[in-house]
Amino acid sequence: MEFFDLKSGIGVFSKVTLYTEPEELLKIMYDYSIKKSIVYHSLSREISPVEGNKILLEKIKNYKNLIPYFVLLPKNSGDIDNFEKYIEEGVENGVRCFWITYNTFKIPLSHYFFSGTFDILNTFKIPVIIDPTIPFSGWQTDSGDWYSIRLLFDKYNDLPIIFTEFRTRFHIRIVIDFLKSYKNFYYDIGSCWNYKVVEKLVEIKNGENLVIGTNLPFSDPGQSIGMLLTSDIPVEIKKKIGYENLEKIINKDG
Amino acid sequence: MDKLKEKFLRGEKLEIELYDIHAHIGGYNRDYLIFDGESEKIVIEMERLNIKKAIVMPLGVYVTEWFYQNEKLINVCKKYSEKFVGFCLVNLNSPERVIEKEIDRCRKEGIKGIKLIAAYQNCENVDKKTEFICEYANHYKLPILNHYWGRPEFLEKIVNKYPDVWYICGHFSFIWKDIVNNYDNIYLCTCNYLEFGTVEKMVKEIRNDRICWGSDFSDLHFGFTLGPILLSSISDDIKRKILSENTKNLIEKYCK
Repeated sequence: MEFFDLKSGIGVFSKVTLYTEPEELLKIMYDYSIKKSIVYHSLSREISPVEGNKILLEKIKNYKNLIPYFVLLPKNSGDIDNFEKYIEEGVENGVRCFWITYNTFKIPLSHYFFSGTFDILNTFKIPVIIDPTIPFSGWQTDSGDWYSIRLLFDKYNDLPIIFTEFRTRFHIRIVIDFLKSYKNFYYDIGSCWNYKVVEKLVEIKNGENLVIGTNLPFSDPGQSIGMLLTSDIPVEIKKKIGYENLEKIINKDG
Repeated sequence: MDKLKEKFLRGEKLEIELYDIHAHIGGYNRDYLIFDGESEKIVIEMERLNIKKAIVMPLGVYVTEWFYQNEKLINVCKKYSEKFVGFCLVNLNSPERVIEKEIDRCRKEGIKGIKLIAAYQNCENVDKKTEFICEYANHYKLPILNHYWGRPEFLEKIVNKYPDVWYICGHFSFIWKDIVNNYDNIYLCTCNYLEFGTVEKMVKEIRNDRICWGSDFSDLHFGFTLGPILLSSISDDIKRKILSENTKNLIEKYCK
């Protein structure tokens, strides 16, 4: 079985990791049967998306199985002169996913909403990842700002929005409601480690809105991949979650 | 690629009988929904994944109604004696005489070991209370699985003081490396969030006959703990030890 990884990073992070270069990531992907990965750069995650996104494009330009993320600051933050143009150029350069890791920059998710950032992203209909995690901090478990996330879904009903975090524990009760309520809500199964959770989330929409992320270079990819492989669900649905669902939304208009 | 990894990636059934050193039954938890947590369904799931036997403890680790929870455990272990080996839950906030009476009761009902998890119980004087449990377990030569033994120095002290206890570190950490390597009666459960590369480092640095797979069901998904071992680059022989042989030996020898 092959996988399409929602979330892996390259570059030198503040925490020492076992690899830094795209070539090394490709070798690991091969070992775990991961055919494609959406990739971000360490600088985008930990210092500045403006610098990191640019370096990322250059670093992975020769590797078709590595798809670039743009980590985003909000519109009118002062970091980028022309936000619309920045997004457009990213898409022209192969960006197929935008990542909003708002806690990293101590900017409320609601500010992304009210500043009009999502109005622009909505015109491209390219998946947006909401990730409240700050690795190795207090912002790792159950950190979603669900009020602001609900604002997004109430306004944008055909923009694919994927929620991922290091760990969903208590908040799985909220995730279940979102999966039932919003057709464009997607969830990374690697975020929740609970017993039989994959099987139960699959029951909601037959697995159509589930994707998988490894959280490399930090996490052991065997954790999320293992959950999918051992789940008591049909192989066809495993393939959807493991690969097809993400490919479908990534390539929709890209 | 080793056979176990290859088969696992292909979604084939593993021809290996699994033994699980750390699991829970009970059906309910404050923190989140327990899906299919009924014992009958868990047994079916164990059969599906070829899990021969599991050491099980009550799921309600906050120890509310701990006598009731132990009673549920006793009944399930009696009903599925071929699948479950029960370790009773202890409320370390209770007086020592109450604790002793409850463990005595559980033992008479077939419970084979003790589970400690002071971290979830707002407990004071944890070391003193833990020593009391170890003294008891030493007398009866019982195994104890502790969620967290505290400092390695503390564990080493009680291992020397109470050498007839079988100590199980409930969650993996490299802080237990030296003590597991230096004593014969300490087992290390693999269950924890694992960073990339942990399994390979684990088997390189820690004696392989004391590393035991723990799923932490029905708290965690089986795949969350099986995946890192089965997909790691360690040999199939070591995978078999971790997933099967080590815990099988522990249960057969010390959980009679």
